[in-house]
Amino acid sequence: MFERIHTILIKEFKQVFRDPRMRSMIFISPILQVLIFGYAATTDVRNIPTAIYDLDNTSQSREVIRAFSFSKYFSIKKYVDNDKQERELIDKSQVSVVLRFNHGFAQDLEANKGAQIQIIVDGTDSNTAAIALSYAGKIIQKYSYSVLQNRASILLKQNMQFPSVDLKDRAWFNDNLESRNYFIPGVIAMLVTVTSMLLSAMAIVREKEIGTMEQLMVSPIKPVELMLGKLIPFAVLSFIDLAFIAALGVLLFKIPIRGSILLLVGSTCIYLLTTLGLGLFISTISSTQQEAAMSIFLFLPVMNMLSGFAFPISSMPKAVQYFTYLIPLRYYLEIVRGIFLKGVGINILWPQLLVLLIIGLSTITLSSLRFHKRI
Amino acid sequence: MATDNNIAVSVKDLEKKFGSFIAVNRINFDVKRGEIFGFLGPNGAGKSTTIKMLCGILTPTAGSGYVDGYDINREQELIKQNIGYMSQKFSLYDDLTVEENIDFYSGIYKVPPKRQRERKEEIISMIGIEEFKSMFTGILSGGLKQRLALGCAIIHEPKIIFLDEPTAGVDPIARNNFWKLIKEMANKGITIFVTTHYMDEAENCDRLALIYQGSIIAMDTPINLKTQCMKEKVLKISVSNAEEWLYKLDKVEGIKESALFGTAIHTIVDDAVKVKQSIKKLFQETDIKDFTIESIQASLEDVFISLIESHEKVGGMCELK
Ligand SMILES: Nc1ncnc2c1ncn2[C@@H]1O[C@H](COP(=O)(O)OP(=O)(O)O)[C@@H](O)[C@H]1O
Ligand SMILES: [Mg+2]
Repeated sequence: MFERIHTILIKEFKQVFRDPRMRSMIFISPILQVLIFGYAATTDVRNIPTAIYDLDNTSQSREVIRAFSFSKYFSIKKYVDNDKQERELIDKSQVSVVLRFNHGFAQDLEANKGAQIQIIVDGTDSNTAAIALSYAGKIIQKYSYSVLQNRASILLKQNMQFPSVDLKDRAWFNDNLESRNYFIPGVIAMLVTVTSMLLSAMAIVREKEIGTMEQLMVSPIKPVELMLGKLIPFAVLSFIDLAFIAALGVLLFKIPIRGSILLLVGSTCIYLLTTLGLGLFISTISSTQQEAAMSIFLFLPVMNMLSGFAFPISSMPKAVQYFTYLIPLRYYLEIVRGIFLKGVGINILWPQLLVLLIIGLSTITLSSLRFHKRI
Repeated sequence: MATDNNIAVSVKDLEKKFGSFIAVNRINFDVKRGEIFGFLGPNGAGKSTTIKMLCGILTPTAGSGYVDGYDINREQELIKQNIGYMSQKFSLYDDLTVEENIDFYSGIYKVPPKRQRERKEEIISMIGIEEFKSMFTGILSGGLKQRLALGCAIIHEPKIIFLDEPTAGVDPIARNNFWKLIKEMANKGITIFVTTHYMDEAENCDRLALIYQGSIIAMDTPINLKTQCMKEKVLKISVSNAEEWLYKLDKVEGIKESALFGTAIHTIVDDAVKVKQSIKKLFQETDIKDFTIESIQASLEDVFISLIESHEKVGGMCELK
């Protein structure tokens, strides 16, 4: 049994490393994804391009503007002086926020009438818009507080401090809400999924396509030997990808690994039962590599969306939330993020592990039964 | 029958249906040990289906068969260990080298590690591929790929080998070399079951079964098929502008079928003497002097064409003896 598996393994690895497409899938794609999610596709809100429309032009309005320009969230790009310009900047997406002071801002402020600042936000990116508004709100609140404090001091002729309640959002486990911390463990989960499922299915179907499968069927090889010989390489390659991305994440982006690496490896093994099982299943329903790739790319985006990779599950509609319980990637993502960001252990993650184990064992069993019958 | 030591393959009433379509229609035959047994028939005749049943990867819908004494319905695993098989496509890995392909099949067939190296050298020199052994298989010519596929199929030294259209798509010189190899193996006592749709190379077989639409319509040695299986005679007519004459000759009484063979016309006739006279007359009337008409031995193709005609009319097998 082991001689034959060994023979297939040698052949499989040779073929993978000789095939430029496979090589790029395994080595280039992780680098690209890590870079994209690490640098470009960040959802962190910083340096929001901002324009200033100051009709008041007083020391008070300039003080508020100064507060905005000191904040790392806003970056002042332009000053405008009429409505048309203001409109144009937003339409052309040159800025996302316009800070507008009408005539009489300072006057109202001095007269205790409740001065107004207008903030115009480009709502097309609703996420950024909401965050921009909340940051702006905070800056303005701070300003009005300091105005209040100044007045009181002048009135009472002595320096005084008001007691204040300061609302500070602080995200746990991801202190500065760095989206890359959230995404890179996700990239690991995605790539492990794709490598194990897609590549294993393709490698099996390829043998059907070129006719070697028939040749193997006439040899005394046992289906289980063939199956293991074809799947093990992609389990190994998945671990290579895992290590590769983790290393890049840690070295390049200082992503923390707070939990146990052993647990990460163990849960990946369990998760691979599912993905390799699905790859095997797809190989039994496809007769060409193209068919196999098509069926995988049909449900990969669904799996991706519903797993919580890009959007938090808690912000999905309730009905969809129930549906996500059927997505194995969901559990694996929770485990990977849990290990990386929260440093939690098996005492917390055991329910996810258990579900993955059950899904994995049933998938691999059903698929291999089908594989045995089909070949 | 199954225990007869001189019989390598024996098949009785073997049938394969796909749904209601009968791909192989209750065929019977025996293959003796050391024989080159040919299965000759056009595309879709049922050759591959038969071979796959014999190799244990397709289950018959009726009938029985024994390969090397093992039952094709029950002992597929034992059969697989004892036969070599070369499928219709050359089943090699283009991205492995010649040696790596051989090593792979060596491992799959569990050739003992001590023997592997020696066996590889034997195969490489047998198929004459020394100078290519570290090249990628993908860049080899069709003829070399085909010989390598054969080499891989016999890596475990089987006593019986099944070759499914091994020479399809290969140039004539390579085909010739390949048949030399097959004959060498047969001389060593290996039984060879080979399918083909090339009439000319079928002549290399010791015995032939002609298969058409799932049925065996004739079975004998090539020479017997050519001399005894056909009641009609064949006339070979050499004349310039043979293509034009092909149609004109159709009108001559007594000609059942004509076809172009190279630059000559072969016609199948019942009464050679009478038709010869009629054609001569036709040529003389049109002032043609440069021609020859001779009675020749039927080629396998002539036999096949005539057998298919009579099979479609009456059915059954060509009766000999
Ligand atoms: N799996 C199958 N399902 C349905 N029909 C098939 C199948 N395999 C072969 N056939 C049909 O059976 C007939 C014989 O095929 P095959 O044995 O491959 O012919 P040959 O090898 O002589 O060219 C063909 O008409 C083919 O279409
Ligand atoms: Mg065929």
